Amino acid sequence: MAIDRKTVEHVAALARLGLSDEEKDRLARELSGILDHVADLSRWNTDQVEPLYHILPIKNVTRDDAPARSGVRDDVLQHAPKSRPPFFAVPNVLEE
Amino acid sequence: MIPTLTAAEMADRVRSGDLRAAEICEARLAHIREHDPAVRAFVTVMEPEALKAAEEVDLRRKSGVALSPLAGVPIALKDNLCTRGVETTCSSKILKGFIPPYDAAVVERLRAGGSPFLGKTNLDEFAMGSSTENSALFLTRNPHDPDRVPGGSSGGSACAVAADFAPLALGSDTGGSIRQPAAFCGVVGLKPTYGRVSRYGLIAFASSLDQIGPFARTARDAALLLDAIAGPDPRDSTCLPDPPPAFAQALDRPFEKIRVGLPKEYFGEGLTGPVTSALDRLKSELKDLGCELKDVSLPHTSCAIPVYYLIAPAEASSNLARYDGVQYGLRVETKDLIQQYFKTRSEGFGREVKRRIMLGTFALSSGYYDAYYLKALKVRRLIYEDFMKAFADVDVLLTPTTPTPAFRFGEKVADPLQMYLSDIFTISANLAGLPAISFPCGFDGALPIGAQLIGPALSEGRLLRIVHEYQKNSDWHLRRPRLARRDASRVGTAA
Repeated sequence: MAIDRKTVEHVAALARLGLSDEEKDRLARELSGILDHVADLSRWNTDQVEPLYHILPIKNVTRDDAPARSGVRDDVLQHAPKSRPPFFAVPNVLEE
Repeated sequence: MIPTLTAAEMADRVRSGDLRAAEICEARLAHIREHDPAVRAFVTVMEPEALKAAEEVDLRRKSGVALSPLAGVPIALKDNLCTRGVETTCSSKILKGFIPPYDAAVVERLRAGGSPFLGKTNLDEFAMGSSTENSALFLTRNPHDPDRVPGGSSGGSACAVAADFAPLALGSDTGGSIRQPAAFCGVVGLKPTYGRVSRYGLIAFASSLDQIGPFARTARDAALLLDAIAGPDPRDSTCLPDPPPAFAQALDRPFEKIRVGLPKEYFGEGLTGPVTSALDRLKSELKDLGCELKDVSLPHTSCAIPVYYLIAPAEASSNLARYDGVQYGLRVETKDLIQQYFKTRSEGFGREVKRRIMLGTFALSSGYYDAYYLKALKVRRLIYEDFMKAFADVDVLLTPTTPTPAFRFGEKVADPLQMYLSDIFTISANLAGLPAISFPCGFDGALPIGAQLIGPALSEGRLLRIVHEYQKNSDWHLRRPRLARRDASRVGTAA
């Protein structure tokens, strides 16, 4: 299927990805080519086939919901782009 | 003398006291200093850390403490494995400066066993690629021919073993990222069964496909490394609870008759002449070793690439949502938080990563989910069932690892589909979660040719034993590249 620039812009917004005009045009072209190739899958009838998410015969694993200390808070904050210990710092998201 | 020692031999000599771990480590570091400027396998060389770890092994030996099987054997780590206190870049600008506060499970196990880490190796950014040309940092050159790619995405790790920088290396394999570079660089590369090795601390690409595995020159060394890293880990819920068998110990068990299937879809057009003749020779050599060859068919083979390029990008688009510039890595400052996400991700991700995020987000987006993502998951089951039917008749499958030997720099970068097609023989094993191994079985001039064995789930031991038996009767795996000393910037394109 052909992907147009509008679709590229919509998908980029969903992915929080800033793209230049040149990138948008190139991606429209490249994604169209890749989707043409994957369209081949429609040849196979899968009406009676269950999706295979992964191959493991194991169920989800849960652990006890018990608090524990990570012991790495200061390390983590030290390597953050911006922090105000004990917090990460981000631009203001609330109205003044 | 030291460069030609296998990991098993190094470990024996350290244990017996014939060699000090520090001597071995220093020799590898000197070899890296001399030749890595031309190959560029390493993003980070961990010289002081490696020497310190080696000296600790020597002290432990002196004080009479029993050493673990790989104590003192230096190893290279793909730079998507978290290493405590050492920058882990994924060869991406968005993780430049990221210093993990913890070790990946595999790193932690090797560290406890006394493996000195020589350094972190180059990869295609976020392991997305087949040539290591997508590294945002620099190009890595195939030690057998500096004008050619090492394969990818674990190109640096494959080169590290091929160039004798390290007897062992770890990589990760989502669609062939261990086996394809192993084939291109003339070394052994094993992708274990999905769930065999903990991925805790592996930077996630496509979580239903990613698996960590060893690079080595010999099947024995690969088995020793798999022994060291395999096994349950409560921190990775996809890690199987079964304790793994002792792989290295089982290598010398008598070689029983093995039924080897030859899937006809893997021997069709697209193979170069030298690849076909190397595989033909290998088939008759395997027969001589007592294997029974049998033609089989995997009818959905042609679906593997389309299925993979929907599922892997879909999972990647979700996994890579975490790179938002808030907690670690690159942040492009703006006044507005949402704008900061857009700008950070725009500047931090390279071309291929953006392409896959876009493709994956599209396949998961409202209106397209059923036609693309869900359809791919259903065809994935058909691919899986092909293998299950084949394994009713045969014990393993033999295929070429790649249709051609290593290609030239720039040959496939302009057309993403051409690059994707270079993984055509390796992807199915990931989709079906099966173990698969690539090993050298010939040369086309200076370029190594790799063969692949795929087995049923949890059959790594069988795969390793076949390759071990083959290596006792052949010497392709011992052919070493002639390394250049020149600067890497002289030939080819620049990243």
